[in-house]
Amino acid sequence: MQEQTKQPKNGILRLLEIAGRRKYHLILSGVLAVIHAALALVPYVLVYYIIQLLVTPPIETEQVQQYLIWAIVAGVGSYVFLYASGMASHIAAFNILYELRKQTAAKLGRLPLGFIQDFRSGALKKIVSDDIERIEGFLAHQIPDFVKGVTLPVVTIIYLFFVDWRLAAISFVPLLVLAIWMPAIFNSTKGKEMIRSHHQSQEDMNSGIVEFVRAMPVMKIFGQTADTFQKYSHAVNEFTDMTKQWTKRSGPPFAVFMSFMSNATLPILVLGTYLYLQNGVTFSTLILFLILGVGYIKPVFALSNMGMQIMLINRGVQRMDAILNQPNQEDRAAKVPNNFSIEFKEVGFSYKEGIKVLDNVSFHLPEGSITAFVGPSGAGKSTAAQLIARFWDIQEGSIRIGGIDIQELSVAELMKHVSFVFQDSFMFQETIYENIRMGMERTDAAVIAAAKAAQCHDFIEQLPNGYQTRFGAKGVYLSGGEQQRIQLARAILKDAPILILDEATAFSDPENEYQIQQAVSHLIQNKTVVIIAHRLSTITDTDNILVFEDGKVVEQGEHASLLENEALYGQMWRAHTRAQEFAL
Amino acid sequence: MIKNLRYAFQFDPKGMKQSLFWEWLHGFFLAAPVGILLLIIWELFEPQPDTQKIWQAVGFMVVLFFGQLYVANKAMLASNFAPFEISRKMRLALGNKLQRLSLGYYKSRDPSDLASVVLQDVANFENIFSHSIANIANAVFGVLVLSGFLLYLDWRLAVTLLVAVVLVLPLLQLAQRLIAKLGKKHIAARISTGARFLEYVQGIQHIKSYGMTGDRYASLDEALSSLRRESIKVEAIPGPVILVVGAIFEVFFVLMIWLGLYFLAGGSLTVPVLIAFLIIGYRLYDPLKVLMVEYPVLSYMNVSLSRVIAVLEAEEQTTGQDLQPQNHDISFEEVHFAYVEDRKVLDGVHFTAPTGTMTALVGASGSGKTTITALIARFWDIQKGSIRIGGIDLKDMTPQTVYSLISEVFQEVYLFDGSIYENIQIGDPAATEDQIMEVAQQAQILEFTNMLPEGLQTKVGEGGSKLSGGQKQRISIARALLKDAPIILLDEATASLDPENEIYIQRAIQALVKDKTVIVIAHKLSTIQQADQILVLKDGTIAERGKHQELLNENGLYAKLWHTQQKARGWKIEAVNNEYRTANVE
Repeated sequence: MQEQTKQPKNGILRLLEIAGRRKYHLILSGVLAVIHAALALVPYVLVYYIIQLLVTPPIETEQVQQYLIWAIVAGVGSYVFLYASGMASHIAAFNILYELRKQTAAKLGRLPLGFIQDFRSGALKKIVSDDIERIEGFLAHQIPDFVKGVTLPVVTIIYLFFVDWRLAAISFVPLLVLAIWMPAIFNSTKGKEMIRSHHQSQEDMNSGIVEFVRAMPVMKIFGQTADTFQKYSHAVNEFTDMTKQWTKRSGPPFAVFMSFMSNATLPILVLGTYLYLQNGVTFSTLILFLILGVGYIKPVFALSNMGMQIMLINRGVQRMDAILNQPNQEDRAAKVPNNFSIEFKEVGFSYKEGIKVLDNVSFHLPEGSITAFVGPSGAGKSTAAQLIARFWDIQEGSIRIGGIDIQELSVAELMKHVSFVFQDSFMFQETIYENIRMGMERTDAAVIAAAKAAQCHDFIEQLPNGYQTRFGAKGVYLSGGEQQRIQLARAILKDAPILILDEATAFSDPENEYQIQQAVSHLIQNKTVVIIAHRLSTITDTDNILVFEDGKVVEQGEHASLLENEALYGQMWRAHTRAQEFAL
Repeated sequence: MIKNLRYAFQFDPKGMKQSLFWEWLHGFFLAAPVGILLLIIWELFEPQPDTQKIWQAVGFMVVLFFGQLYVANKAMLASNFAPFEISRKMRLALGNKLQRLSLGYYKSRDPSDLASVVLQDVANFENIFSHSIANIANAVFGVLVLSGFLLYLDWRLAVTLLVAVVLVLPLLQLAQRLIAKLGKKHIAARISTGARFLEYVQGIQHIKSYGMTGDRYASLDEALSSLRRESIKVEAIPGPVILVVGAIFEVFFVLMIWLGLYFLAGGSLTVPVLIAFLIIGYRLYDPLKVLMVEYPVLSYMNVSLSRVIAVLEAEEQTTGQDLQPQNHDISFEEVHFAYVEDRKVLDGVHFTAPTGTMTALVGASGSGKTTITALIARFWDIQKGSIRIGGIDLKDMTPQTVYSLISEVFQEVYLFDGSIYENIQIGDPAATEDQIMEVAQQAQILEFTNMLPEGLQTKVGEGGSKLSGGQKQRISIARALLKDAPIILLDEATASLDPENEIYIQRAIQALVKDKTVIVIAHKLSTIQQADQILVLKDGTIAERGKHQELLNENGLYAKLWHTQQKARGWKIEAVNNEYRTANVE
């Protein structure tokens, strides 16, 4: 409960919150990075001391050698600390990514199915693969880089001020000029507009390319490749032109930056030479400033780029959070039903506000009865069936199983009592055995018995490794009908008291239909069954038929009495019987 | 990699030359201030420094600063424009190539993978190359100029520094090999995580209904853990090698100073030269460090580049001539065909389908039915035997000529993101509105578009997402009607894909096949009782052939199939064991 009252954070605060999951690793990484930065300075400082010794003969060779040994130690040490810092931050980062991915997957499992179906699966994959991966940049690179980018200049500047405040002050000049100039060049409104139209032309090209490739086989058949190629090349050219224009704009700031970088010693050189000639500074101090005085500019500007990268990372995090912050399906109580009748009471439901998919639907299905839902596509029959398993939560009315409102059952409890046989038979890249068992606690014997009942056993035995054959492995092929039977075996194994069956299943594959029918007949024994029916001839013997139209139940009864009504069902029946006689 | 880069460069050799010219000129501007700095330091070191000379040098540096403003901009544009131009030309070349590839190529490749070659792989090349080209050009230039300069100052000290470079090279190679090896595993782990996750999302309703979500979906978790492990390895294992490289640089730099001191004491070296080495000697290693960072990125780019080149160099079908056959008899003569060597799909298939007749292909999945229809459309070229249309061998016709003779109606329908009208128009862009209305009528499209507010102008959505399977099917039939090709290849299952609309699809198909030479893949045998000939396929050969009644009389494979289907036909949903149920309902 506390989770929900907290205001969700965003931006850099949210990123830091994510980083907080491995706080100590990351602090350690920062500390190591600081030590690395400090050690990396040591050789430069030592060079300063060595030069000091060199220019004041007689040269104390032993002292110089002492310095050299320290320089080696510090130099190698700085590499070791850099590596250690990198490892600490990367271990933290990859562990955090692992957790976030797992958390997102788990969350998707707890959300209503409708939420997931609103996304394309590719978009969800992109969030988990790419958007979350990007957070690594912040955790493993930007945090230590930031620490380095801040401490290195600060330590350098403090040290330089101690050596000579005048030269230290003037070494700031290039930094100041750049700090004022660069943002002014980057953040003009025209620039932002350009970024937008660049993105637009990129998107146009992307969708143009995808369509070009996908449409190519069709276009070839119809002999129209030339036209599509013209559209395609237009999009490609447009994008290149936009990119060039955009690049032209970033040319000048780049040139300014590069020129400042390579001539950054200029102010120090001018003042330093002047002071040296006036005997204001020693030769070695001048050299020290020429070496160290400009070295910190680059890391500081690495920081300026960080803002842009964080913005990019942030957009990904927002997409991830859009999932993580979705409210879960709530369980109002944890009751357990003791019979399995199904009742809809004035149920109203819409996926999107304003468009009602079900409107004031009421019916009662007794325990152990077989009921068919029929109607044109979009009439609401599939939705009504899916609502029984709480794939979505309804907005009006109530759905009860054994007299208990399904919102008072936990989703897990409800799932125990309901089996689904879907139109699409999804196979996982696992062994056939696991594809049937689906994580249920069942004995091997039970799995095989279910496979036999679903008419799968024989073809499974024919596979190279029998039940242990991995689906999707090379050379393992199951026809659509065989996959359907695996799905039926799952449902038989689960043996839940309520079964929701998409009847198209039974006919998807004429070569296997007889076996599939046997499996279905076996499966529906002793259950409360709801059939989403497409082919009316198969459901003429069911106990009850509900006819859906535009989200309402318009007719209800047995086959014979519905035919007498001469209404929607009667029309559908006539069309169906005519279609049965189709011949080429 | 060099070969691949050369291949890429040929798309814009002029741009590449310009880019290299400006980058190297810019390299001079990068190096010059250091040289001037040394000059000034040396002058200052003189007992009696010549101040005028010093201020002149400073003044020159200011001039250089302004010069660099111009050159840096030029260099930046040149080395960005060259890759942009290359990727533009590469995409156009890919577009051209894609038009020439056989349809079989499209069948054997995942279209989204092919699209990602054009999109992602070219972009990878462009991004990495435009970013790296300057760094690499500068690094190479830097090493050459700097080592030349240092050798000139004092060859003994310069050689000492260069020895480190020689020592480090094999280590760098080792690091690269490690990175490549680990990178491969890492990419594999990423791909597998993506696949697992897609499986999780696409199968979520199945997973949910068996309570397998979250932690309990073990294989996703396994993939995620392995991704974590591989990611850490990529960072951790090559690290120590790089560490040793760094240590070698440090040691040799110090060794150089040591030697310098020794030479200094011996009088063969002056203090200013040693100071010069102290200040710029270490910079000799900077370009190598840049290359060290760029190399793994470049090899990543190389993977993308190879994928692009593979498509560009893919084998094309030998094109024949635009020969128009006099009639449309289709004949297979001892056709042998295998997608992969040693796994024959068709093994000596021989038949003739005369003009205007219907031939049905029957058999279990994998028996070769679909392959026969694909071969008629010259998706692939056969290994042995010949296929002829109207007596002309397919290999003597251009693929375009073959396509112009054929319409297909298969289960998958591709609609592009436009209106229903535009999607039909593909069949014949020159068709008048009346002709399109007529085929829309014949294909039973008006039956559903009349209920849509925008009628035929309704947008179908991406890939036809706003339409049902049956509706998409009818659009594809309308296209075929408009094209009016003499040969129709048909999968009968399309007639019953969408049970609610099957009567409409059936009517549409009947309109299409009228008076055509038809090859139909049949599943439901009741639909092809009238076929002129039925070919029953088994393991890539024709096991039985004849008309429906003849085959039934033969009492072989066909008869067996027919009887099983008859048994299935009358089936009704009903529990096997009725007693329990009745007891509960009453």
